[in-house]
Amino acid sequence: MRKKVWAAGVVWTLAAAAAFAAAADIDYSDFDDTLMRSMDDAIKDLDSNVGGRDGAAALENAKVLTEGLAVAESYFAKKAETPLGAGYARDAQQNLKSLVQSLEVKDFDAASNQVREVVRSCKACHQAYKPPE
Amino acid sequence: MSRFTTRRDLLVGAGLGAGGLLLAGALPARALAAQVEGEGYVDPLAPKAPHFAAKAKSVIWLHMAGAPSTLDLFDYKPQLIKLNGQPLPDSFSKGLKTATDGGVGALTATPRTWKQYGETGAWVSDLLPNIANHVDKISFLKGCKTEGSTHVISSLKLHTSSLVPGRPSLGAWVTYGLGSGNPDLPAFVVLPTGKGAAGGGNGQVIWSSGFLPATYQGTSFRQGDSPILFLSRPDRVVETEQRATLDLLKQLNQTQAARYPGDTELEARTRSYDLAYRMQVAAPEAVDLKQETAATRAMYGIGENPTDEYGTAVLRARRLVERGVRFVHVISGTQEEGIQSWDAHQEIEKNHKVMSKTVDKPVAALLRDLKARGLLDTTLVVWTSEFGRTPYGQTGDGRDHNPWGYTNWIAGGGVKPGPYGSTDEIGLRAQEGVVDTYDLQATVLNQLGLDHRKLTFAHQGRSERATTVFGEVIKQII
Repeated sequence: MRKKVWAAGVVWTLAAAAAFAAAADIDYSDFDDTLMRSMDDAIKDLDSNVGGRDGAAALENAKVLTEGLAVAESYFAKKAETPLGAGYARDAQQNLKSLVQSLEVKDFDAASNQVREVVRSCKACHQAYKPPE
Repeated sequence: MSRFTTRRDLLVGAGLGAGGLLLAGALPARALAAQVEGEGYVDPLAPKAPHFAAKAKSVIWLHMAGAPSTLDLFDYKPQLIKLNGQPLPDSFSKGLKTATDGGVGALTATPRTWKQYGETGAWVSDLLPNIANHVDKISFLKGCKTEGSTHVISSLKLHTSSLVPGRPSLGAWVTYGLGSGNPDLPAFVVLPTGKGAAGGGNGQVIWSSGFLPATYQGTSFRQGDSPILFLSRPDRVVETEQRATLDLLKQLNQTQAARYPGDTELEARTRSYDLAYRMQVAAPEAVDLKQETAATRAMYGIGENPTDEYGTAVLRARRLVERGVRFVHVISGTQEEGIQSWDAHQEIEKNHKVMSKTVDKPVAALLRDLKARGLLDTTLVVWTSEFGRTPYGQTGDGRDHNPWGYTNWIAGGGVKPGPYGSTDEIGLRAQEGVVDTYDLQATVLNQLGLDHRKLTFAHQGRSERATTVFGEVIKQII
């Protein structure tokens, strides 16, 4: 079991390194920029609304993000150069699911932590795949 | 501000003003200040409780404008020495947009000599022999990264967490979060040194209050005995005359304020006149280095070149935090001909020798002095820059901007000394213990007792934070 975990770690690291190395050459012109901007707005609003304990508004933001991330997942899944992209998008959607559950029971402290997890997934993906700096 | 509406109003106001003239100079400033606090008025600079117990009370933010090469100061890279003169390997540069106007030159080893210092064994080059003696007070963040590749953009990000102007600087957030520690001085002071653009660290957008109320913005002090522009009383006006004018103004404003009790802007304006009056005494005293011993002034390099100006600023910073100023932003510069800042696209050897000599002795003196006075425990000293510089050369004898990996450091304020994080083998990219500017800000706020996720301000329908949606406190160093 330990060997399998270790091997999986190596595979993941190599994949991440390959992804990172390839990031400079990826063409994103077919990705919907407007969608990415609306997700950027939505995550900021979500953070703000969770902090302000506005559950209804936060749920709206979470919905926008979930829908956008589903599109991103499908986009990255079709792109050979971005093998980890779909996974990041899935992670973020999973965190959003937990966040929605927290919002439904008005547990804003848990929701706040889950916003951070969503942000981490976004940041990790942008680190690996954003256009060259 | 509302105007008098009738001749009777004007006469009543003038009569009160005449009474104010008779009182000129008779009441102490604090008593007068207390008078203008109307009911319901909340002083935006009143001291506020932190979110949790604070380790630090103040910050001295040493902004190394122009961006030093930390590869020549703190980040010792034997592999870079081995690869000296070779092209930048693709394995290191993949994914980075490295090309600039000057092109990507060959890898360039630093010609510095290096030693490990103190119990923490931190590496410091021979450019900073004085700071080297204080490494056991310092937490070196060796895996820093940021965004942008121009000074303005990355300075904005470092100070305001945004790549475009408009957001509040960290000093403004601190002042908003904690209020003032001294009602007679600005809570957030900026001490620029040098000349030209470097002297301003690319402009006041980096000490702006952004969308926070203007009262939280940094106040830039000048060199010399009169630190605040237009603060001194004009030569032809005597003190009693000035006090009488202010009292008259106050009485008129109070009359108006009584009619419009909800007008906080009028209250704030009235208070600002009094703050300015009190600062006429307090600010020159705070920066009067004649009150320091000759030994202290010498320790900071005051009276000698090239340390005089920067040493003066840093000693002023110590005096300001002693007096309760929350955030002092010192911007490095030099008066040396042909050099404005650390920005060394050419002649890095010449540049960094001058800049290091300018800051090394004063910064070391600051650490020693704060420690001796028992202030280092409650003062965060932060060495930071908008980015670092590349391990590859540029234009033959310079280094280009490097936002991908560089070193910042923090001393005091409850921070654990020692190295944290690292760059890759050649110092190009942050590799372990990666610290973004958001994380640095979150950590500074944390040591001041402020939770960066709870310090918010409503702006355009959104609850805004200093660190936007990002930022993680660097728990490993606290």
